[in-house]
Amino acid sequence: MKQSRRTVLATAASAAVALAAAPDRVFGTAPYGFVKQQRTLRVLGTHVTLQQPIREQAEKDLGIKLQFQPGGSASVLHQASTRPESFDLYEQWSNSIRVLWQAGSIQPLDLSRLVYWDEINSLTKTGKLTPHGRIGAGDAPNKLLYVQRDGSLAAQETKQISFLPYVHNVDSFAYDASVVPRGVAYKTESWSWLLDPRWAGRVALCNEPTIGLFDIALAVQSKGLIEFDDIGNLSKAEITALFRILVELRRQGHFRGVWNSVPRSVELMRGGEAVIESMFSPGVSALRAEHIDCVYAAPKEGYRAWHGVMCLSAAASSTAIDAAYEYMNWWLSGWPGAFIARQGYYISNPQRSRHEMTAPEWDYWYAGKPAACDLKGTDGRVVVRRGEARTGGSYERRFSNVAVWNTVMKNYESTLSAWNEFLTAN
Amino acid sequence: MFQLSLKRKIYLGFGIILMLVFGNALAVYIGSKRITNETNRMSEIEAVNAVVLGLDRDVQELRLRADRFVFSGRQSQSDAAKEIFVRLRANIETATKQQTDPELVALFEQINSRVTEYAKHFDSVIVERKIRQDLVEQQLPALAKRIDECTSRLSDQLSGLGVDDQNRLALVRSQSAFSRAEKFLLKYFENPDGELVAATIQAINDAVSQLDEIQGDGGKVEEIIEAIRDYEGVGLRAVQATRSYLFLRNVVIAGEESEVSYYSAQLRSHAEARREFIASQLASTTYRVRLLSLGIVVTAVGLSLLIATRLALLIVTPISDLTRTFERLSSGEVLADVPGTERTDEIGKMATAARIFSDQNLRTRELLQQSQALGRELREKASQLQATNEELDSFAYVASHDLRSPLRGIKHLAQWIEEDVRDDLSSDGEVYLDNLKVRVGKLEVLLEDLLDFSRVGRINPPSEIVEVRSVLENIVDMVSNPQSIEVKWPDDLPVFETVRPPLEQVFMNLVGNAIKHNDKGAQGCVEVTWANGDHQFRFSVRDNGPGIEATNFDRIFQMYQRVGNPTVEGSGMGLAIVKKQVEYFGGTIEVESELGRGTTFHFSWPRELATTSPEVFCGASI
Repeated sequence: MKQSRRTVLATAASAAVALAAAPDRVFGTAPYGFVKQQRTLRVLGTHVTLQQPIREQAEKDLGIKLQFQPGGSASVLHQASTRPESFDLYEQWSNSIRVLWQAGSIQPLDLSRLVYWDEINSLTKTGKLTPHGRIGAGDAPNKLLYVQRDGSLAAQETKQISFLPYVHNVDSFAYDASVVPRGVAYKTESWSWLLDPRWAGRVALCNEPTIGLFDIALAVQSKGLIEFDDIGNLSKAEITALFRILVELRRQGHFRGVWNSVPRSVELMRGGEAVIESMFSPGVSALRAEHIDCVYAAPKEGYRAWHGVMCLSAAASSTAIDAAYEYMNWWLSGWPGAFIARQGYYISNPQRSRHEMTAPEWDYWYAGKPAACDLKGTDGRVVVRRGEARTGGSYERRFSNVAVWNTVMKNYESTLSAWNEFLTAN
Repeated sequence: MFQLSLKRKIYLGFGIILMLVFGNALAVYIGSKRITNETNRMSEIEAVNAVVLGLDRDVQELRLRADRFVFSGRQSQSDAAKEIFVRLRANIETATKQQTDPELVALFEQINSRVTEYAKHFDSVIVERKIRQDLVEQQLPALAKRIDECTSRLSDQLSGLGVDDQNRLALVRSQSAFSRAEKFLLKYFENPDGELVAATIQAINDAVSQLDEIQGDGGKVEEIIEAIRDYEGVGLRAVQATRSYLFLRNVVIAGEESEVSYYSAQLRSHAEARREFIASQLASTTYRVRLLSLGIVVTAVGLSLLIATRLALLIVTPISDLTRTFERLSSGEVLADVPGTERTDEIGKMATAARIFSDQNLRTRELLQQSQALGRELREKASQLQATNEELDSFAYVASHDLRSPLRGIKHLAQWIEEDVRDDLSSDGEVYLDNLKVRVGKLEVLLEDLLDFSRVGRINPPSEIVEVRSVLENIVDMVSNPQSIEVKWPDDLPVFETVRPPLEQVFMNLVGNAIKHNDKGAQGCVEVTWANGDHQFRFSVRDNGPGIEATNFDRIFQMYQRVGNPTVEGSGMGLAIVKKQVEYFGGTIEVESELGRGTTFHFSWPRELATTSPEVFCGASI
């Protein structure tokens, strides 16, 4: 049975409504003049999902006051892991789950309160979107999804989960096609391009060992310089070998530098300082909207995938927990999925968002078909021109080619010091 | 240029030279100004280098302070780092404001932006560092103590049992495992390593599993397990806090540092490039100014020479040509071609004037030739006329002379008739005879006058010393003066050598006419005066008679022309003879008269006799 977004919201919020109605039943209405306190939900996350239009729409739909605390992916992770009392809901990537769960910063989610759980596709539940797709290296979300009876996280299905799967995507590198010759998706486009001496001095990486490290590790492996046993869990020796190469390349001036935010990555390519770099989908959209021929590569080695997660703080109050469930259900109700689709992100239950999208939008963003008309992004600017097709093809095809998932490796500390050595090498 | 006048060409030439001189001065001025500007810009760039140097030094110090803070967690280090932030940002803002180069401004703004981010993240480092400090130094020891206390109590409870008791052994193994966990964790905080975290968790799990094996007093065991799990949670949070500030320090801040270093290097590189560019610009500007100045000077000199040469060619040569032309023209030469007439300037006008002069010369020459021809013709005519006059005079003379004999015969015959047969004549016959005698008398007078007229110039009496007074006295004696008209003259009348008869005849006719025509009776008066001229005497004969109408002034000097009272006898030849005589001797005669008041005749007479030129003679005779 199909449900409209607002119908679902009404259903999903029934518990909260009941709770909110309780004071009325206790105290009556007039003449006591009871004023309901507006509930507030503090959301810690990144700019990917903590966007102003989303906040406004959610507040309008739910009547909840949302306090967004956007930050860099690593910094919010560390805040969440050490200060659970500073947030109610945490929005980030699946690679942060192990850390948060170990630190006891988050609490399990009850599947019975997640209205759309059954609509969530197999990517999160099994690690594969299609039967023939490959499961990427590193921490695939399904490995961390279910809370086991012993308190550990595993793929074994239970009634509780560590996070609500919602926004996800595959990342790769992007290049300025006015400088870098345009390649062929899955055939010639390769992570090794990041090490092409032709672009020396104009290569930039995401300044995040759990992300940028995989980009450059894939590049080094693709170039044949190192063959990693498990690229999702590098050994100390592999890390040392990898960074020996990177430090040498940096000393040779191969890298322009690193970026800490999407706007900064856009700025680097817009200004011509970088012609090829790690990139997130909104950065590509922003550059294309500015008529810069930025191509989001579909590397033949596969993508670096990430999966957005919503986690409940271990320190959240019961009121906040109710609001958090309402907000999580709202995220899967259709409109948010359609909204973030226009930035190139996928939602875990895409069919519900399909109704909120035009056919050309669906065909372009999910089906991988050429755009039947100009398509606008979330800021109203045209980000896709008629006839363009999304690099990498359809949702299924892109997620069938995942090389590695963003992961906090066991040797994370080693990567931090190595990364510092890389950044300070002169 | 050929369309301009000479004046304008000269002005234009001077104008161009002045402009070049001014242009040179302007080029030197602009060049020096640009050189000054570029020197100032060079100073700016050097200032930028100094700022960048200070900036790099501050960033290095900042890194040092940040590292020391991460290592020690001392506030003094974080405070020192914050002071550096403040100084850095102030220096960057000052440097940004002082810049005019947009690229340098953009680079400074980028550095400012990176430093701002750096400061923001450093604040997070401080927070995370403090969290870890609290967890590691406060919470974890407290939990460890609590676990130790609980474990001690359980150990005391189990102390009554044998050493081989499984519960005691499990407790000991649990304590040992927890002790390992503590060590791993402490090791981690000294030297963060993910394997130590895994080992810690494993050790804690071992400790818990050992506790799970203890049977009996579950309450205390559960309390220990809970405390151990709390310890694990706090420990892992401390691990995350460590990771957090390590991440912030090693990744985020290091990234910002690398960006600052990059832009700092860019700034240095850009400043160096700018410095080199400005230096090359400076050298280029200096060279250009020198070259331009030299070029303008050379051009000015060349152009001046060209203009001078051109003007010389335009002015001097044509003027020399014109000078020669005018010299030739002044000598009366007629030129077939005058150079420069095709020009439209002043020289062209002068050449045109020369052409006109040449044409005038030609016309003068033609007129002269014509005049000479006319002169020759005139002389021929004058000769012919003189001959004719001479013939006429000869004829008059001959006629008057030769007619006198027959007339005298007639007169004798008439006399004879009168004497012999008068009585026989009828009255008519007598009348006729009287008329005949009168007519013969008149004819005789006419012939005498005509003879006198024709004798002028024909007879050249010898000169003598003539007293004019004597001449006048004789005349007064000879002239009939029935009305006793007074004739007077001054006492100092000249005495000079001349021919007496012609002068006497002139005075005779003039004084005689003045007496004869005077109508004032006894009041009549004739006065002769004189004046001394250069070569002539000027005599005047004035009377107070009836006067002559001005219209008759010419007629009175013609032969047989009479004016005035017709009853007064006269042949009409007197003044004609006077005029002929005066002019024959080179004098002139004029008349002034006023009706009713008298007439004055002025005539000149040479002080010394000279040969009368034929022309004068001819002219007088006309």
